[in-house]
Amino acid sequence: MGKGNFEKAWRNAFEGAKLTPSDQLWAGIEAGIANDEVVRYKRGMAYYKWLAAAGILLFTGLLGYIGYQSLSTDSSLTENKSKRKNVKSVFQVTDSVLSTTKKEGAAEPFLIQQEITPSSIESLEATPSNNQKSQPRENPEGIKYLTVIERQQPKAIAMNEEQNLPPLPQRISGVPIYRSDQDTKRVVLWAGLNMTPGYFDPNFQSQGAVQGLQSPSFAQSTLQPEEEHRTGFSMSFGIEMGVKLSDRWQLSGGIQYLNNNVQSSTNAILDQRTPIFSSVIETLDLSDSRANITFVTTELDNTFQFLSIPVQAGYLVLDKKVKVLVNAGIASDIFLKNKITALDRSLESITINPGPNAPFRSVYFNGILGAEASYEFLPRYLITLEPRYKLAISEFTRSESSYSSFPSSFGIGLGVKYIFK
Amino acid sequence: MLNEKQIIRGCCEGDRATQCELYNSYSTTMLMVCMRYSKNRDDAEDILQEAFIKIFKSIKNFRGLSTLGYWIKKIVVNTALNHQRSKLYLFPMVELNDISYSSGNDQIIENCSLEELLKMIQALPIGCQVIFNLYAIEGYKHREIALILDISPGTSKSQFARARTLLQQMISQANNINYEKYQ
Repeated sequence: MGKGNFEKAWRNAFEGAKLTPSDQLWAGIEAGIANDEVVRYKRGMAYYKWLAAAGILLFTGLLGYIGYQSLSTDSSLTENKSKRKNVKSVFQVTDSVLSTTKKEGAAEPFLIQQEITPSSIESLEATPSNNQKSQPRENPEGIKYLTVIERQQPKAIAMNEEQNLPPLPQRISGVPIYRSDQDTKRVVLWAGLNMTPGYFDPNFQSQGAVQGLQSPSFAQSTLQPEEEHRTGFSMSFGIEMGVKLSDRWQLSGGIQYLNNNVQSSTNAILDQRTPIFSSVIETLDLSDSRANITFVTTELDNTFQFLSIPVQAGYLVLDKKVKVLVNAGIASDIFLKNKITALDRSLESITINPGPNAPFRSVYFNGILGAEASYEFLPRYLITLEPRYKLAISEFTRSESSYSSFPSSFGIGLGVKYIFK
Repeated sequence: MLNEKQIIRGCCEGDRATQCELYNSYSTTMLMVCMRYSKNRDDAEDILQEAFIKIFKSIKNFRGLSTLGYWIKKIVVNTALNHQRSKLYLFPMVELNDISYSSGNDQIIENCSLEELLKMIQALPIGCQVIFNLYAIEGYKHREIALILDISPGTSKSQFARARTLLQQMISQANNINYEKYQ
């Protein structure tokens, strides 16, 4: 039914009709815009909060580990100091024994270093005194333990002479140095570069009919806009750093740039230049009855770019020339851009940037599982190969979007690591 | 005086002076649109304020597929519909498949002022008011209105028929009053 004169008369009457708003209206709009900017700023801050949280987590872990290591080193140093003190006692004991020996045998005094030798300890054994019960023992290699002398009565030793003793040499000839295993442990850090080719599946729940379509333009059309998504090629580049927590465990983190491609297609084109697609449907002007929709299948290149911050714990399964490590962790993927381009370049490309109007969340989280094989091809340099599977544990699309997405990806990473010692 | 592209660019950058210029260019015509969808000026200004905030927020998504004026009006109408949606209950009156109107009975609206016509629209029941605006003034078809408001096309037609009858009565009364005034 066409529209009659009555409707046309009303339309003409209101065509270009104007009414001046009150002066307060613009002030209200300005306040609304400012409020919106604050909300947007707060949302933007959420990025940095996640980045800071990941950074703090990594930094705290690293700091805690370094602190723990230095504490262990301190306690072993204290242990060494007490050992040295015992050695001083030995000097004193030996000195007094030698004094006695000197008096008795009128021999020339020896240098301390020379005195504390296995043979002198034997002489101690040969010249027992009342307050000294030297019982030198031999270990299987024939080296006598000075700790045996420690068993002697230390109370009888004149400790006030300690001040007059010459400074303790770093190493005493004939005194074996025993170090605990912890003394040899150091913080082992490594850094590396990697690239990971693989595939990316957005797992869009919008296969088939285009979601969120409320246009009257399709009401009586037998053809409905439909879309399809197929797994595409993905490539990532990144840097990573890690720390060895124990013989078997290590913690690693880093930052990666991801370029994930999805092969998509749609059968509906708006105005012969814009593909109709679930992710862009809200930005298209489809309620216009004059909207010109063409139904022709078009292959699209649908590219997603992310910045990923993975944090992983690894367990060393095999520690030979070739090392095998099993990794698991989480990655925060920060959405950078989504670009949709027709493969034949016949349509205008569409770019979706992060923000409140994008159908995608700015940050979503993934679980990571991987196995890394590494080979030390040069001292401190390792070449690595890591098959890695990543699956979203939080939704990539916003809750208010008309479809959902839990992306997954699989790739085989190639990389180089340098171990700092 | 900035051209349309410069205004869009300035608004995208959040430049307040450019936003103010866009507001000054379109606020008067858009307030009249809001008046048609509301019962009084306060409600209309609330709708306009909300609509302009949406416009400035989403202007970066404007791709030039239609004119800027059409795009702005679409946002204003959508905002007005959302504003009225809670109050809007459309009785599925009589399911009308087709209605034919005899133009001979149509009252002439040329004798009425714009203010009078606006008051007549505002005096309509809310459902009739919205559908009359969408059909007669915005130019939507009943099928399109049905999709927008999630009702059947028959309900849209019957609501419009009621609006049309009520308006005819109001115009008739107004014409009589005007006629008496000039006697």
